[in-house]
Amino acid sequence: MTNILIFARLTVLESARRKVLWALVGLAALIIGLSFWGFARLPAVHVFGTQLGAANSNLATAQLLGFVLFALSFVGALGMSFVAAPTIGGELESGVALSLLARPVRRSEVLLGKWLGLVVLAVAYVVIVGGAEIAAAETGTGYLVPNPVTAVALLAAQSVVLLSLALLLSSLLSPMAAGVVAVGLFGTAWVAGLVGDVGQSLHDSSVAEVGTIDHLLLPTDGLWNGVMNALDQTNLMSSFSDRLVGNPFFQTSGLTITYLAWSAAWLVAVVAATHLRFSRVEP
Amino acid sequence: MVRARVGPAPSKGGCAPRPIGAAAARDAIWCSRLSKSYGQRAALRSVSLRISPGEVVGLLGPNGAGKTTLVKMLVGLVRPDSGEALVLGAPLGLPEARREMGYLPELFRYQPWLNVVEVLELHARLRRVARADRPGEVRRALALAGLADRGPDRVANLSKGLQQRLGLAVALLGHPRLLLLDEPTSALDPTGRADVRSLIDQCRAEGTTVLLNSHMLSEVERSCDRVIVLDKGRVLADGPLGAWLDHDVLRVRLEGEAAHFVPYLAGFGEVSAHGQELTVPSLAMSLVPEVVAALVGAGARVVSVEPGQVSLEEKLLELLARSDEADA
Repeated sequence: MTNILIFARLTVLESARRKVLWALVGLAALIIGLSFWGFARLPAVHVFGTQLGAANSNLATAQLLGFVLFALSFVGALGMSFVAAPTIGGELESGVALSLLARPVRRSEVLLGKWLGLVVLAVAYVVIVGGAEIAAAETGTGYLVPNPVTAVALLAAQSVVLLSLALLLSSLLSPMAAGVVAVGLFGTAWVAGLVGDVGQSLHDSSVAEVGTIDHLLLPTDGLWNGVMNALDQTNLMSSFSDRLVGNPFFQTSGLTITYLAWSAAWLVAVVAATHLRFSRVEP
Repeated sequence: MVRARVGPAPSKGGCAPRPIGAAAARDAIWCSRLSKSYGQRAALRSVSLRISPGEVVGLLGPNGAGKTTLVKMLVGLVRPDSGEALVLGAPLGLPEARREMGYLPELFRYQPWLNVVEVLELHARLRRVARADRPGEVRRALALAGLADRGPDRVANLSKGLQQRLGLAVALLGHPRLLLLDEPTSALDPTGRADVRSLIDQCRAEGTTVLLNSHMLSEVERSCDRVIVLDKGRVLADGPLGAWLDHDVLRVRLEGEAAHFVPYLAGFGEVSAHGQELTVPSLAMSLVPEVVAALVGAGARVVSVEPGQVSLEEKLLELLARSDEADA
């Protein structure tokens, strides 16, 4: 356990020293600042000379919050992918791993330590930035997010899924390729999820299955749907849901326990595959 | 497929189990028939060797001979395809085998975003140096490697030579019982090389076992008790350095290529030629005028004649040449 914590601390320290953390925080602060300014102006917006009513204001806020959180999660995804991608491959390629692996440590301890460090970074980023964004929306508009804790927890889970994928890729590919592929898969999963939502709105089961398969293969978009569901007011959705089916920023149904269990199993399988690969690498 | 046995488990296949003896467990390094291939290319072929505690052993051989693969295998970075080994009494590849080992890799790279002291503290923690002893141990390693005033410097700002010194400091942390040095002076200046020789002498005095993989033959000649020569993944020679070098020779320097005159000295033993120099082995001083006369008679212009001893380089080249001839 001590060795795991040593490598976790080392991973967090590296991110701080390489200014990755500060870059993420800076970008997030910019997005939060701009969105707070926008949220604060929303209640005063007039459409065709008429001020937005409470229902329309809430709808606009929920939709904007979804967009902004998506932007933040995308920044986080990019950041975590590029932090996680060189974690194994980079150290093997540069030779830094040689002296570390020559110590009385198990490779599983090195891997779990690095994974834990990345998880700490991702969760801290999501909790601080996601929490600040939700607070900005609530303060600026008075709109109360129904399940803020669930939203932030699922957003964190999405980041953990992505960084675990990036870590697996890091054990298979060069650092640059691992980062590019991780971000590419994240984007592809999101697009495939959209296609599935469109299929649902058109009642085309074969197109809708694209989304289902996508959510099983890479749970990032599935978890994102859970985030969106947690952001929407139930009564708001009941009045608008017919028109919002197929909109990726509104979800009328929450995630099932089965899907959350699948996501957890997916995570364990990816970390186990990374360990299997890393334990066979000969630097 | 042949599976590597990395521990002392008994062998399978009808034969009675062959337990690894207590003597092997007492050796600093004990290897039996280690083999490793990368695709079609064999990096190590059935390498067996023993190194006793306190020995300082040089590992020599041409590029691609398998030296670094063997060292990495002993560290547990590379798995053997077959064979078995114990390092400090522990099966190869287990953390226990690395507990009291110091290793300077050929490719010495450390976290560029840490400073020198932080790198050493990290390795001291991984080496399980007690918390109270860490500051003193880090200071000792810094002083041994000649980095006493470089503690706060970022690794990224160190020259290549200083990074190699940092690698030495990392390897020396915690008084290892076994030190594996892979090309430890490749980036060092003459002062640094002299420092490494002193370090090895100090390790010898403290009873530390040292395996020195180096192309710097003068270093091996000065520092090692014993030499193991690898070629094409096989152990070509293994013996005490003194026995190899304790041979008188006569060196004759000529104008022009010396190889042409080797046949004219056929009666004086196994004469070898390197560039403009002929080396005549184990020759009585009374025969020196006859050697010179034979050469002059053959048309050679003799520049100098001096008695000496066979050098490690000559011995190594001779061994490798014989190996090539045997393979051919």
